[in-house]
Amino acid sequence: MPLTTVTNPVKAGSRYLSGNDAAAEGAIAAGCRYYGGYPITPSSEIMEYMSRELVPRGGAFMQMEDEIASISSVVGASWSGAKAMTATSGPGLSLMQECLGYAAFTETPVVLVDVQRAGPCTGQATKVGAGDIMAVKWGSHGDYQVVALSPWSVQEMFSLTVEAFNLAERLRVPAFLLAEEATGHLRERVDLPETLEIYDRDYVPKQPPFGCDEADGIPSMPGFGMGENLLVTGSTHDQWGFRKTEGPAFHDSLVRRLSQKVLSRKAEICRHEGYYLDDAELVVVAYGFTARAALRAVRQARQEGLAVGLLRLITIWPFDDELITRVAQGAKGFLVPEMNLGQVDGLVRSAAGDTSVKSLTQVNGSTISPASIMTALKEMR
Amino acid sequence: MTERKEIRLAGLGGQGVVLAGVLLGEAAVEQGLYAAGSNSYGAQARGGGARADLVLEGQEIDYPHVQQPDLLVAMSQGAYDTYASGVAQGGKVLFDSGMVEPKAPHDRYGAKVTAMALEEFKNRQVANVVWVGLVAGVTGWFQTEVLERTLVRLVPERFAELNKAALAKGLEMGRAWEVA
Repeated sequence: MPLTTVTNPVKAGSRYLSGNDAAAEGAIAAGCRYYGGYPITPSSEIMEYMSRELVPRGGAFMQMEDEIASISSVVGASWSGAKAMTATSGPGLSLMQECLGYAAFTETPVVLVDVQRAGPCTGQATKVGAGDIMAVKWGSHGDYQVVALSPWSVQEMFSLTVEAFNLAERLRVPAFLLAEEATGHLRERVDLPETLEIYDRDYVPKQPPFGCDEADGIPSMPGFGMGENLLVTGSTHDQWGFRKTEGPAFHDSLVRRLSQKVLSRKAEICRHEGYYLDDAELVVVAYGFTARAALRAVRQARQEGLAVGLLRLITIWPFDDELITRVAQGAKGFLVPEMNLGQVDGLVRSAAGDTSVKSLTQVNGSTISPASIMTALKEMR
Repeated sequence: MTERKEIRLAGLGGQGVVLAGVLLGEAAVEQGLYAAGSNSYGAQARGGGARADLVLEGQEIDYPHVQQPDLLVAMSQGAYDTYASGVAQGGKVLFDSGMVEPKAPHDRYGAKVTAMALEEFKNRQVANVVWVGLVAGVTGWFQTEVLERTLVRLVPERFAELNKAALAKGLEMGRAWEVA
């Protein structure tokens, strides 16, 4: 089923919202009908909002006993036909990893909002961080793909939550809104649209739910209670869901398809924004809240006559290495400011070719200031 | 107003700093401005430091955090001591003169807001709304009727009249300050 245009069920127009409330409204707008979660700072406002609003809108809300149960219930709800989500932060994400792999391997559309705080471990619960970049992609064992989107504003806490649902449903993968405390707790003007483009899952009766002929295909997804003989397992399975834990060919083709169905569609999934890139010698590659400090710094630098630009990554996973390679061809150097010890820096380096890459890291629980980025840019000249 | 403006409200937990920030932010958006607000407060609900920052602009805001406030409201000595020196050149420092001993001679915008709220309205909790009025009055950045509408939306119905009176008092005082 392609995208359909629907009337936005939440209040449209200019509003003053917090990022977490906007993510919750985005979920409702995208058609989320199940939320299972366990509260954790700094994501709890999403759960509070869903606990109030989901049931009156015909959905179901469940506070689970922990994060393991939360994501398990979300996977179950998705197989019962509901668009489903949970929200958490670093420590909860760690607990969800096993079932995240289950969701990826069983091709279950789920949306996870990770409002990142300063980790590792319990860390500083109320402080900002961006240390989960690699954890959302590599935290569960084996080879699999997820989608992760990085909002830089309250507006995008709404719009990218909608997009996360659309991508999860279309690709049958776990999709992350990889937010940060600074954006989750930011209050900001949003301009919410009257209508939205929504993707509802593809279902063709009596089709195999776990396989198709194409090496990067996305099978039709039935749900429990729809009259199909449905078998969902985390063991290697054939296209009808029967366990095939011995045959090498089954495992090989399944694992490769689960990756290929995402990677072969990178051109459609990956989004970015460029500012002042045309003649930029130095390019700041940034994402999330840090990209806003970077934009401020780049504008200031331009006023001082420096040829600098900003490449803002909206999609983090799958990582758009071709984009980095393309921009690298016109640039002398990249600066990668991050609220972690260089998680995206490594990805940029591997795609930057001969262009030099400087990493600016900050893990003190506060956001990177425009002044820090400005200083780093001047040191690169 | 089209140029970027930065406001910082700072005081103690329980003084209504965060609500005052939300009130100003919501009103600004209803006026058609862009607004970005962020808060900082300790783990304890009352008595710790509390801060509400607000950025206003006529166009989309690139960096949403306050860097050098054009206006500081210091509701406690701690808030004044921490933030007064960070105010932009030509910026204003408003303070509760019943609670704050200013150190810079140019900080002339003092009023005993908490004491006045207690005396005039028999309710110290409306002091934050008096401050909202003061900010609006002294800056001229906010429309009175929009502030009043936003206030009524945000506070419990039975306190609406009390809060409207507190807002009016603040506006009157703020405007007088500007004339002086």
